[in-house]
Amino acid sequence: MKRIFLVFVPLLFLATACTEDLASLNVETKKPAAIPAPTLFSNAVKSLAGNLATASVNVNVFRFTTSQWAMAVYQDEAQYDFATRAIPNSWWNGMYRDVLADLRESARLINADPTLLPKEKANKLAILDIMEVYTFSILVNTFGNVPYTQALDAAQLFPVYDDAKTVSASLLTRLNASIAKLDPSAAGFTASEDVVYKGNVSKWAKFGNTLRFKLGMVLADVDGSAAKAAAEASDAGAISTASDNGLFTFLSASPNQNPIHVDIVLGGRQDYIAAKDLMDKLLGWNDPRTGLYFSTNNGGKYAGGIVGKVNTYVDFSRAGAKVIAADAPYVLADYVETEFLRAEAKERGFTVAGSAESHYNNAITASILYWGGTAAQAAAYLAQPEVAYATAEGDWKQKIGTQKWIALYNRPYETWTEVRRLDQPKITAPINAKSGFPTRLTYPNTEQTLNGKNYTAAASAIGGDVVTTKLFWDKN
Amino acid sequence: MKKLVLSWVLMMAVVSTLFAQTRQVTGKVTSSEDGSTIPGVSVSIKGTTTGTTTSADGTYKITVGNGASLVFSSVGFLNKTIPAGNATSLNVILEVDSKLLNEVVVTAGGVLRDKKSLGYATSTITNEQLTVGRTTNPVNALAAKVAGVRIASSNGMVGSSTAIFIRGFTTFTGSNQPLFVVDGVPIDNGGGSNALQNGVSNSNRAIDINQEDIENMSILKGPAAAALYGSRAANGAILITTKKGKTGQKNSVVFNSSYNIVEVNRLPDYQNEYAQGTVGGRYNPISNLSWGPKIAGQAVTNAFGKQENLTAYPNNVSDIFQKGINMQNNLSFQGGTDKSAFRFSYGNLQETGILSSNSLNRNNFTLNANSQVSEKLSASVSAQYITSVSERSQIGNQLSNPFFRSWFMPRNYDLTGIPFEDPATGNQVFFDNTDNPYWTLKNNTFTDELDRVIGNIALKYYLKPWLAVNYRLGVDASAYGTVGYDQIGARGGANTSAGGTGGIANSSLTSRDMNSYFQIIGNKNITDDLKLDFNIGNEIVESRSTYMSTTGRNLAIRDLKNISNASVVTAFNQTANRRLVGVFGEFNFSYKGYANLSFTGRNDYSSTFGAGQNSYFYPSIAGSFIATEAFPALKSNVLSFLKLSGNYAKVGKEAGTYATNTLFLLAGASDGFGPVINFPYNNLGGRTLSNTQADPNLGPEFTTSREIGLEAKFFKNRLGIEMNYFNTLSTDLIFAVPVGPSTGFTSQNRNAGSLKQKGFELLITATPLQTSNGSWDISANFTTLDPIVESLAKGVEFIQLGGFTTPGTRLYAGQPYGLLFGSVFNRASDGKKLIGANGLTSLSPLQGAIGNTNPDWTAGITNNIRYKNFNFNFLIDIRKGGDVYSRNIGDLYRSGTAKETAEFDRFTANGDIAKPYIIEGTLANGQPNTTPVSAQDYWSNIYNFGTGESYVFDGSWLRLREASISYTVPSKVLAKTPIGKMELGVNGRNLWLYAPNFPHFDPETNATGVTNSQGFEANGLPQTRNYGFFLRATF
Repeated sequence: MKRIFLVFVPLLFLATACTEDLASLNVETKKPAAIPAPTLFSNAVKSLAGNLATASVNVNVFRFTTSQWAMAVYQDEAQYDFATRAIPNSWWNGMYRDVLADLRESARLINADPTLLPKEKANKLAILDIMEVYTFSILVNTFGNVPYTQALDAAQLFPVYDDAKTVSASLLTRLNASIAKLDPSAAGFTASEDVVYKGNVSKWAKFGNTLRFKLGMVLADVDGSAAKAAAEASDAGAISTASDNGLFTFLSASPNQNPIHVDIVLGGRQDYIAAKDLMDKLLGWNDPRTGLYFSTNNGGKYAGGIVGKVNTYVDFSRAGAKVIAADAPYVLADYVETEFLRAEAKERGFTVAGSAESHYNNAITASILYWGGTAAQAAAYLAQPEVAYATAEGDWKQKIGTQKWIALYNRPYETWTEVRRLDQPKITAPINAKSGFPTRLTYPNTEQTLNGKNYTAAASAIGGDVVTTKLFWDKN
Repeated sequence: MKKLVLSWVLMMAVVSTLFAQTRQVTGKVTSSEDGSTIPGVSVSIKGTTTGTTTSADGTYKITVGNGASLVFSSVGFLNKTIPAGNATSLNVILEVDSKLLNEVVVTAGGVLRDKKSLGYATSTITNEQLTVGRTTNPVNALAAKVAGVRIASSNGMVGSSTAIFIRGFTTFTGSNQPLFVVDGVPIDNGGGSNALQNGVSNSNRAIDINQEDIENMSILKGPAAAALYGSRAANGAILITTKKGKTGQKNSVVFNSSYNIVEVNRLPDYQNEYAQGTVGGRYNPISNLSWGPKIAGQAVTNAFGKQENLTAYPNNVSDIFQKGINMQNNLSFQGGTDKSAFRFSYGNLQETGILSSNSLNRNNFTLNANSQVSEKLSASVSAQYITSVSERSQIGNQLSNPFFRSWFMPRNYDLTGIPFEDPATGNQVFFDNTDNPYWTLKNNTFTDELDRVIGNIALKYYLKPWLAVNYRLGVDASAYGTVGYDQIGARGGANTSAGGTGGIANSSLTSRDMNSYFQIIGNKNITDDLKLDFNIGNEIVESRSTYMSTTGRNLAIRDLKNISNASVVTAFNQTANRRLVGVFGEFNFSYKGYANLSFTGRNDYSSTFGAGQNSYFYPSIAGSFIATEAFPALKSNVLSFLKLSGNYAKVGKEAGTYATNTLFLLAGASDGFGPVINFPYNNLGGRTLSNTQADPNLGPEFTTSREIGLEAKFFKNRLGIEMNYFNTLSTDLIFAVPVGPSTGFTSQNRNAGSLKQKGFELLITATPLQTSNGSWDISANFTTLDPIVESLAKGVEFIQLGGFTTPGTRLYAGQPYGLLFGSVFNRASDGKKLIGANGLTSLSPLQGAIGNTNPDWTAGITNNIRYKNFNFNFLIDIRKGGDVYSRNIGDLYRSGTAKETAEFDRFTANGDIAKPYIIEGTLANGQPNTTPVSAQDYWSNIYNFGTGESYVFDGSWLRLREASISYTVPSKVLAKTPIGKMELGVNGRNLWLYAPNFPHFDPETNATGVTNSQGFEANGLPQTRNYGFFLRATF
């Protein structure tokens, strides 16, 4: 009988021996638990640029919202239908999850890295913070109140929404600190890690100043002193030449081509055409950018379609070769917008160098040059009375607003924000518009369920979760 | 458990001292069927409680008194009583009990048990039943044959996967597929899911099994049946017993051959009157819609600028298909000596598909051998080598799927006649911006190659005649490689999403599953009436897999399928290792054979959980009571058998690998929306924090089931009824719980949510006719199942199972599992469609439930009619309900190509657009709609692209699933040939289909293959039927 008993010994032995190293088998060896922090920064910036550049009808449809492009076949997005394709979700998720989470994680890792020299660490953290401010500003200026102080924390599954105005002020405060921290004498990210400025810290300072200038001006109608302070602090340090432009350059080779190239050239999408609104402005003033912004229709002519209407693709102009090029860059910040900001600051009576007219002329000239026109073409364009600052139609808001709308082409989110802010040009509602002009995006519908209490509070705080609610700075 | 064993051992010691007899009798028990020895035969002295059982080699030894008679009994054989006289040696041949033969079932752990003693439901399918249809995938061969089992084939492409759900679902986003076990050792049935928007139709790995090697399949249906296989059998288990040689059997050779034609079983009905065009009945050669002018031979300029006369090409779609061939040949050698036996078989399967560039060639080499090494030790080895090569083509919602838009090919487009490529450049020629179907079939290729070894060794040692130690070690190792090639100029995602630059995708998956079982198996009469069987042991499962892929894009040279041809290469590497250790025990008490009570308990240790959570225990209890044996008075000419059974069981389920750590990922994949983020970018590898936050405190899921059953036989077993009612409750389900993205994550791996089901299964068997010349047997099964999502995590409105965001399949608390969700029409207050002033419907901004993918009930009816040497078998497969979202049907309507869209003339006599339709609905003012609209307005409004609601069709069907007629050549005829037995016949599968509410296509389709998302079709490929003949000869 004892012999039988022996049988159980190996049984127990086998069972216990095999459970000892169970924990080691639960370690994923092909995915890192620790990584070099800059790789998160590079990826976050690329994600951000991709979201801002794409023309995907699932993500970024502001080209239609601002009547720069029209659609040939599907009209949903052109008619202000943001719900069908859950555009607010993609925009929100894209910013929080794909950009901010990685920037924050990168900063956490850099902060914890004892091997970094203090100045290099400070530069890296400042650059990360500038990009975080850049991204949060997009969220706050798209949605209004958003999770901010409790965001990006897995321990806070139900983050509260912070007041948009408070967030905006906080972003400016952070920018002040981060710009001050940047020290061009020390290293930042390396040339390959820094996908915008290839490691040039002084250019990041210019980028930061232009961003502060821009975010300050957003507040101009609601908090003039904050706008003035931001503009005056930034003027001298902001981007002052096209070579300072902050570009994210896509590559000519797959898989890192510009998403518009992927969609239109590789995907063969025959749906996007020039909008009549923009095309008529370009043609009316013999804009040298006409053939750079758009191609001709099948008949060799320039023509824009009506937004919201089914348009026959072959009859209209489409995005130009420079827009759909595989390696077309996305402009994160540039000289053109900075000069327009300076012109506007001047008109608002802020203390910045130069004259409104000179900045206006610089901005338009820089835009034409950027797109491939010549200085002579720019001069001829500006000489026209409809364009010339002194004689162009309307007040400064209309003059700057109209030209900025043209010049911000292919920066759809920025175009939308400036149209909302300057209220120029007046956008004609598309045919069968689902709503009035959208002055914000609704919160993603997932927020209603996943963060319901805070969502409800935020929706009522901003005056209702609809696209026509005006953000706090949108006074007109 | 140790205590239990100890006390039991002590008890046995007491019992054994009671023996005190005078003479020893020895002998061997063999089977009348093939002379093989029978282990485990109960040998008892008549009229006493004394007895023994035969050992592994069928021998016994018993001490008897003078004049005693010995009673030999064994499951599956008729009892035999023999007076021992004064013999000291007594060899016995037991007659096979044909009535009871099919009642022996393989249960968990490979233990054979008498079906009538079981307290839970099982079903057994024999080789003959399995192979009627000669289908390639053995999972398909189970369709409609077993109550409680739902078989869902994804499409009719060669090698396509088929999902199997035994008693529905136990989890949300993890696998609901059962465990496949071959000869007591689990094997891998992974794979078989398809991407929605790129790639080919994949196989589930059970497809590697040669059906001719299968002796039978035993289907264990619930946690009770499968408790001993632990976690992996939470969704039931399919126990495959392979054919083996038998000791004492004379050597024989069996040759099996079948040849079947494979063809599309249902093609759409087209209108062939109207040409391409989008607006106003005008011809438009680049439109993919057929709302153009009437086709009347008029001269037009086609898409390539050439003049042609408008002509209808009614077969421009059906011509894309070809007749495929499925050819299966098997040769086996088997035999045995008195101590050992073997079987060797070679099987070859060759199938060419219904589309060119689709084929599968599989070779199976199988060797089974067993030997009685000594009186107490037996050993067996089973080894199988499988090599399989296939070619596949693209499927899904992508421009490279040859049927992305081809189902609604403009009726006037001469697809067959117009060349599909430019002979000089190889560039494709097509009017549309999708890939030309012929071009993509030729140019976007995919091949795979599998080498797989499945083997096990088993040793059994009898410590005592009633106590054996069993050790089994199994391995399932495979290397699977794929090569995808996307031609330069391809327009769709295909294999590499190269965006027209050409791409090559190489991947290799090597995996190895090791399963080790150590078991102590015993049976003993505790008293004369009370018998105990037990089975205690452990299981160690270790799975390791490594996946490597390299994807190259931007090809320099056409058709050079070498990764070095690509200028941009990205690589990916993944491993998944896991181990599960289980300790289990099963104790079956049987009182006089008619009252049975069974207890199981199991403790698992899983590497998929953190240290504190990785050990968990779960029990089961099952009982059965055979009333007709307990109270023989109940038996009558009407009632022959009555059994009641019931069980309660719980099973724990482990998590997916690496669900407890939050990690960084190489930035590469986007979430399907927005720009594709790819690295390396300028030689820089980008990283991103995982979007899923892991929970280190993750614990197991549990499924609890309760079942009651009734089995009755009437009229001397001519009519039988089996009923089972069960419910299951699955709790602590592990899934990626959505969280607000402002946390930086979009989900968190957590235990949350619960799922409950109740179901009813009925099996009726009948023999309406039985004469000496033949018989007619009917077996009908019926299943109804009601899976309801009880709860999700707090704040989580739904979980996406599959499909698109909208439409898609989702889980909502309180709703059936796998709800179809999508856009719905605006409705008036009377519930009818709200019709606008233009006479058309509009979509509601709010989406809603648009269908329930679960069938109301399913049934299968097998008829087997034998007359003299002829046998006629056919299987009717019925499904009631089960909604299917069909992109294809909607496309046919929307595009104006379906026959129905031309039921009325589209033009009036004077050439104006006719307006023959009035959409039934209500205007805003409450009045019924009276505004007539044109055919184009009608069909493209109701079946507008985003209109989820109208794309949902009831998937009910009635089909002749399988049929065969066979003839057994009389032995007289074969007397002068070397052939011992010969059977030949004709067979077919999917021969006839009636789907009253599902026009144009077969409703048996699923875009994503083996996934929990069922009932969703997006540009799917058709199902097939096959028919042919077969031959089986024994030499």
